[in-house]
Amino acid sequence: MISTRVAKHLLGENMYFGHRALADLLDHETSTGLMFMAAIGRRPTDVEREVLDAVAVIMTSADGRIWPLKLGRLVASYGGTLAGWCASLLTMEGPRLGPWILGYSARELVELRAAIGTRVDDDEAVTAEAAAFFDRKRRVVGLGVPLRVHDERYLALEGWVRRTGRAGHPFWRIQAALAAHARGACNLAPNVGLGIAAVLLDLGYTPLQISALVTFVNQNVFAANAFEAAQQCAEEMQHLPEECVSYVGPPPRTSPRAAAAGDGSRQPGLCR
Amino acid sequence: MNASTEKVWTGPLDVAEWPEKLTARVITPGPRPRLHGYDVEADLARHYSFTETVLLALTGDLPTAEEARAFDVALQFVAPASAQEAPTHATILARVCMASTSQMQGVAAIALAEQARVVVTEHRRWIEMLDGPLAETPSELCAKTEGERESVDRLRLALRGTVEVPALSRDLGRTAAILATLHACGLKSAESIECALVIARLPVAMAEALATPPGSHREYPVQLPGITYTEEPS
Repeated sequence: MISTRVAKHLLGENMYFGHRALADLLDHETSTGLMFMAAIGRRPTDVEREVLDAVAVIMTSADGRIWPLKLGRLVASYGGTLAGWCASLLTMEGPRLGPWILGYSARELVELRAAIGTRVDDDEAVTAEAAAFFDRKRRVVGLGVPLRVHDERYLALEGWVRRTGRAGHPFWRIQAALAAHARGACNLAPNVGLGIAAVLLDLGYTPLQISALVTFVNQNVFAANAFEAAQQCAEEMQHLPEECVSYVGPPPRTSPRAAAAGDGSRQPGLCR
Repeated sequence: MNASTEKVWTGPLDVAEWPEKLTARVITPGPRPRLHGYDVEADLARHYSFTETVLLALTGDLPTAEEARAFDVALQFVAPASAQEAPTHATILARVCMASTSQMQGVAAIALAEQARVVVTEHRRWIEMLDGPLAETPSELCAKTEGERESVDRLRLALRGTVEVPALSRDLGRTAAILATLHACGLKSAESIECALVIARLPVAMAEALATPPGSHREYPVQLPGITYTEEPS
C-alpha cells in the first residue's frame, strides 16, 4: 500500500495536505501557497508566501530564445501547449540549468555552512571558510553569469533582501562571502540561483525542497512560451530552411552491400 | 506605435555572437537524406533492414550480419513491456483518459526513457566492465531465479550463429545478459543502450494502450496499487 499526504477525494470535499480545500483553503490560500504546499507539505506563513512571490517575480526570465524555453516552443509549434510545456520541464531535473539547479546551489551552501560550524556569527571565520571552500572547489554551482557581467536578478534580489531585512541571515551572509571571494579571486559573479538558494535555506528548507519549490513557482516562464507557441504554430519553428542547417558528419559513402551489388559506382543524386 | 516612438529592446542574447546555422552531425538535411554518409533511399533501404539502420544510427557504423541478427534478438527480448510495468500501465491510463495518440506516445516515451535510465544507471559499472577483459561477475548481476536462468538460456539459443557474447558464459541475470548482448552488437555507451531499450519497447507499450477502450474510466482498477491518505508528517 502506498501512502500519500497529498490529497483525498471525499464526498463533498477535497482534502489537500490535511486541509479541506473548499471549507478551509478557499478565501484563505493563494495559488502560490498551494504550490508551496506541494513542495513543503504544509501551509506557508505570510512571510513565506511573500518570499515565494518575490522569488517567482525575480525568476521571471522568459525570453523564448533561452534554450529550455526555445525547445518548448519547438515542440509546442504543432499546437500542443502542454506537450511544449512538458518538454521544457523534462530538461530541468538535474544539476544543469533552470530552476531545479537551485537545489544544487543550496547543497554547496549547506556544505560550506557545515565547514563554518558554530562560527557562523564570526564574519572573519565565514569569509575565511568561504575562500577556502572556493579555492578547493573552483567550480561552485551558483557562481558564473553567462553573456553578461552581472546577473540582474541577483542584484534585484540583493536589493530586496536588504529592503526586507534579511541581509543578516546566516545563509545570506555565507553566500555573500562566497560571492565576494569568487569575484575577487576570478572575477566570477554570483547568479540568482546562489542568492535564492540562500534566502530559502534561511527559511529552513532542504536543497531538494528548494529545487521543487522554485521550479513549481517558476512555471509561468515555461507556460507562457508554450501557450503562445502553440497558438502560433509557426512554420519557421516546425521546419528550418535547408540552408539553415550545416552538416558536418561523415561524407557520402557506399555501403558494402551496395558496393557488392554494383550500386557504388552510381553518383549520388542520379536518377536510375 | 510609429517607428520613431517604437522601443528598441536589446539584451545579452542580441549582443552575443551566435552561429548562423544549426549543426547536423548524423543526417543530412534536404530531400536526399544520408545517414552517417549512407544514402537512405538508394542504399540503406535497398540493402539493410530497419534494425540494421537503427544500429547504424546509434553507433555510426554499419553492423555485420551477425551483429544485426544479435541486435534483433536483443530487441525482441527487451520488447515485451507488459502492463505490469509503469510505462505501459501509464500509457494504458493515458488511453483511459482519452489522450490522443501523440499524447499517449509522449507518455510512453517519457516513462520508458525513465525506466531505461534507471536500468542503465543500476548497471553502469557492468556496462563499463564489458569494455574490458571479463572480470569476476558481481553477485548482484547473477541470475536470481530458475525462470531467469531459463530466459538467459533462451537468449543464448537465439544468439547461436550471431556474435560472440563472452559474458554469456556466466550465470547472468536476464537484464545483465541482454545488456551484454547489446554491448556486443556495438552499443558501447550507456546512452546508446538506453536509447535501444526505449526503441525496442515503445511499439509494445503503444500496442497495449491502443487495445484499451478509450475513456474506459470505470473499467480501470483505480485501487491498484492502493494509495492511502495520511495526515502524518512524512
